[in-house]
Amino acid sequence: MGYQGFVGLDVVIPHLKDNSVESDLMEILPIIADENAVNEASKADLTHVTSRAANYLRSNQPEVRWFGTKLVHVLCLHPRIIASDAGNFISALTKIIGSKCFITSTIDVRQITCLESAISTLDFIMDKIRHKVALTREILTPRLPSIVQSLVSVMYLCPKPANFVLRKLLMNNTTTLRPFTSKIQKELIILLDDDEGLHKMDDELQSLVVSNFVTIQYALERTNTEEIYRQKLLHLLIEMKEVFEIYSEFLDLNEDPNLQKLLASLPSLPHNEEEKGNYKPLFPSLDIDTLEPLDTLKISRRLHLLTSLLREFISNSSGIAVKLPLGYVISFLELNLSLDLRFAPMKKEFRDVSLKKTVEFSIIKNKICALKLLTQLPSIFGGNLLPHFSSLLSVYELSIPVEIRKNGHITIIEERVWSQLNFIHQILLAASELLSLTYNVVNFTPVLKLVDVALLITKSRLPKLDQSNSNGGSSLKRKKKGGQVIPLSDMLSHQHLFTITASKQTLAVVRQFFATVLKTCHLPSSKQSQILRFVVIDTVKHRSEARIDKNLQELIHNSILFPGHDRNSILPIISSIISDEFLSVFMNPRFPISPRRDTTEGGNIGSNGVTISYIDDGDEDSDDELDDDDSLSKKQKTSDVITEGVDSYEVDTVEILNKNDEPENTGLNHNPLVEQEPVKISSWKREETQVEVSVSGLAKETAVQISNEYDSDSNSEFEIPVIVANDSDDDDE
Amino acid sequence: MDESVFYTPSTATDAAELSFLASIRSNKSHVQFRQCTANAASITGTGQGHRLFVACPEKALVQVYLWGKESPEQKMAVPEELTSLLWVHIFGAGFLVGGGKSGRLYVWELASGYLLSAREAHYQEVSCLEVSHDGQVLVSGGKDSRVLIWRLADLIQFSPDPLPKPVHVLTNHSLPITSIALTKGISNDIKLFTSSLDGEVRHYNVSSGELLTTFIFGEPVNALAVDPAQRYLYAGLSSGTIRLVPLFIVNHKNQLESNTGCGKLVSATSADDPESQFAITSHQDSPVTCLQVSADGGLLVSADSAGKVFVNDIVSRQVARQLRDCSGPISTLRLLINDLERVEPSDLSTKSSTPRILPNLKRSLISDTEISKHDISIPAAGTPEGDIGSLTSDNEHLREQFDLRGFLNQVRKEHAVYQINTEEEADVDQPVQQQQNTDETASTQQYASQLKEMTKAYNELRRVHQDLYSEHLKLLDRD
Repeated sequence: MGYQGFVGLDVVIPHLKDNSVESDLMEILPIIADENAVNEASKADLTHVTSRAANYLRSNQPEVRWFGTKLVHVLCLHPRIIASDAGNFISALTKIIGSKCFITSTIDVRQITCLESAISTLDFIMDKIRHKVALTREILTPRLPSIVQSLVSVMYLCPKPANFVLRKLLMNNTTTLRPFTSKIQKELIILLDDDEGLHKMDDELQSLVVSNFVTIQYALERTNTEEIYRQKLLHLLIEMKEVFEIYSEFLDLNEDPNLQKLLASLPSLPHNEEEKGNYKPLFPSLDIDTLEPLDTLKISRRLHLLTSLLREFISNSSGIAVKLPLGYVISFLELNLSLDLRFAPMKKEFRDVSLKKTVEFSIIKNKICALKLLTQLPSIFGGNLLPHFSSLLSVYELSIPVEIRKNGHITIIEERVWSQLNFIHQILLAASELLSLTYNVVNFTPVLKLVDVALLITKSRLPKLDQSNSNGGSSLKRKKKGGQVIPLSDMLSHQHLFTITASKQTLAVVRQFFATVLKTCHLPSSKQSQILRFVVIDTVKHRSEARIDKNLQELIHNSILFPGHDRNSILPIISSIISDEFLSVFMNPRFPISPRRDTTEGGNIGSNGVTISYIDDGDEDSDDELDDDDSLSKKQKTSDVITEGVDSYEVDTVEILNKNDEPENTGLNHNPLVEQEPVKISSWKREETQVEVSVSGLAKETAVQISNEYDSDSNSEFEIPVIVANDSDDDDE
Repeated sequence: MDESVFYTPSTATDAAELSFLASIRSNKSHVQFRQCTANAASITGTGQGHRLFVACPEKALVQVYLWGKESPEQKMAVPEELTSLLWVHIFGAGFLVGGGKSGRLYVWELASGYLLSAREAHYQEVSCLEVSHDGQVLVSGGKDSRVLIWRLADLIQFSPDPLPKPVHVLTNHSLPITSIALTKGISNDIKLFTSSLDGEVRHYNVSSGELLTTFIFGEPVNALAVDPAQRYLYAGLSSGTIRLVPLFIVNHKNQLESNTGCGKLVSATSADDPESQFAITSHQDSPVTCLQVSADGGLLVSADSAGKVFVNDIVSRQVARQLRDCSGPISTLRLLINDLERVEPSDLSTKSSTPRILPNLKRSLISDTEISKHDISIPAAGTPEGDIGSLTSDNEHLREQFDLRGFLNQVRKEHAVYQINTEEEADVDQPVQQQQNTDETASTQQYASQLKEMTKAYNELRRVHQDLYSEHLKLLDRD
């Protein structure tokens, strides 16, 4: 943006005449946004501008109103204007929103833009006022009911901004919003349109709508919030269980005892009549035709909606102290992941293959949904999830499609893995999130299968050829005549052109998973080697990229930091392939300290009575520094200072010392041990002291002048060139 | 930022004995807790929402103090008298680990109060507990002279099968363990120092359990501390002396080398340091009971059995500050980094989200029905950082600077909507209007001509009608 100077408001006023929208906002807005312009403006000018802006808001034309909202938005950057005119602006904006910008039957994009802009400006002003006690009391609180009412009325027109503002109000103004609970809920249910509406929304809107819907279920209650929260959550779990049990119409769930156990552990419909009366499902019953295969997807859609609500419930964004039945939540998610047609087959009366496939498809959809929530649980509950660690890890392992061969070997069904790649991604993501909660996992058997499947999905593969086309020359000839086999010939002659390689998403998931596994599990050598092989190959493939992906970098670091049982480090090969600053620490190992300062009886006594001597530890880096030409010249100059007194360097030193001068804590609060620079002293406030210097066992006495303060400032220009090796070994010698 | 020390006595002559939390760099005393004598105590941090857990002496009781209140907020009965206590924070979840007089190790989940583990760990009372900085490794030392290294995750599993065992059992000491210190680092690099009344400090690799070094002090070692950058080991002795042992030394070739590792024996007795160059003698003859090193490694805070607490300058080996005395021996001493001047976002919010009351600690192991429910309190009780974090995100917008450039881009984008529509009107609507105008003129002319024709026809008809009427009247008159 080119604007740098300071232009007065009086320049702008003529351009805001008669509600004209001809002026260029790009020029006007930066001027108004300038703090100086408003602070320096006369009261008359300021009133002029704000009244013009208010006039814009009162217009009947959408464009003029929109123009006004932008002006007001920038004007409200200034506390001076907020204090004087925020109330008027809020009323005017509420009026625009309440009038729905005159939208009747046909919706015009210009009117919608104006509405959204008005909501955004209103939100901005409210943010500016919120938490400021007097402003909130005088300006915001009296207008809140009308604001909420207007927002609710435009929720179907501008769902995203309206819900965004409502969310903030729900968090901060529960009392004012209490009378509007049913209205908001009604509008949200219309938006959700049972379970049809949710999947039509983008992720952001989904999250907003679901969050508001859940918050109004309990957060606005005046009393017993904790109990109401718990009751609503249990009712939601009951509803989810009820929906899940629809599968029992198609599948023989009794065949799977584990599933039955999980179902039994979940809360059921209350038997007590009174409690039964309290239970009211959030959404109407599903209508499913068993003859219509696609109808089974309604179960998934409903479960998706309910799981979204569950996620919002457990993340408890309102921050109210509540008691959450984490065990039930995990049981339900485990239930979702445990349902499998291998263990709970289709009932015999359903022989339709398409129905079976649709049911299977909907089950996979449910599993992905459950896994997404499970992936988020570690970040919500952290260590509280650890008691469930083993059971969750086992469920993840069981979700991988495997078959038992005749020889008893268990192998992964590759075809199913490729067809359910998204599902496999989710399993690996959920597993890495869970594993990151711990370290040195003892029972890593479930992890081995996850490692296998992760390695599998990184492999390149060829698209599956139709057996009838590829088998035998005769069929090939026959097809050739028909001219339909031309693409196939390419596939046979140039196979590499058809190879499907792992996508970026797959690589990202696998890298994250391996990085966590290397960190948390001591895998057997064979598995560790397989992972390290992947790391090397992956690094080679991406070595030429300008900037290596963060997840690959983390994987490389972890593979070096956590070598496991395998003593063959990949450090040499990785350092040959890429250059990474982090690796330098491994290739040039160093001790945690370099120069340090220690006390001895025979050392120098400063003015505060502290005994000091200086020890060089022989660290190569510090030696290098001392050998540098600069250091030498500094040493020379230091000795000049010592012999000749003040020279040109002293000025700088004095300045630096003045900055760091702490007379109260002289010497004691300062820690010379943490110094990483060579020991330096200044000539400021110097006095005659003795430093005992001994290099290679030879002791020299040199008169030096040191400060009575321990100057650790690395910018100091003067340093002591002497080195003392003062330890017991030397003494022995 | 400031660094504060919390210390509490184990016995007291006065029933209303105080524990203190005071700055080590200034004369500030932040808070004090009444009726606070402890076998062991563990504080979660400084500031609103933080708590102090205290294992009461000679009682099977844990007292919980809330920051800002001097008296205990809660008193919770536990299965037996606890001789050591530790608050552990793992990924936002708080756990309480206690070591009993019988040698049992207890682990409670603070969010639910469930007793997750009650393992028979030591043959005699558990004398000290320490956890790694990431909350994954727990080390317990007992009067049975054994040191046990545990994976904490094993101890907090629901109904584990088989029962969790220590990862390593270290039996090198010959007398009761008095203190434990763990270094920081990735899991493979964590080192363990243990001190014992047998006058030795032992140094182990935690992941392998390998003994790296033995430091011999020649007299009982009561307390232990390690420099944050592992440069020095500090040992508090029963004679009242604090010994400093450098972990890196300069060898005869003037090169820095490690003073530890490979099962090395390092002698650090008073005979090795006759001039007391590596000794702090501020406690005179009172046995040192606790030691802690400040975050910058420059100050050593020590406490003794006479109830005195000193802040020692490590460089000068001199006392930099003496804190307020307690009337009994100091049993717990912890250094905490705090930022009490900072206004917490929770102060801005009108809602108080931190639960005041923790669920009571259960005295029996978790049952099957409790496992299936696993009721936990959220926001997680005992983990104030968690809810502060969530509030911060809520108030973040307050601190955000207005992004004028982004705003102008948005204005430009929205303005395009009006421009396109206006142009459309200009380009498309106008010709249509013109055409409409032409059509209107044509139709008006047409209607005008039609009207003219009809008026003419009407006038003709009217004339005929009038003629006929006059004829009719004439005929009537004739009759």
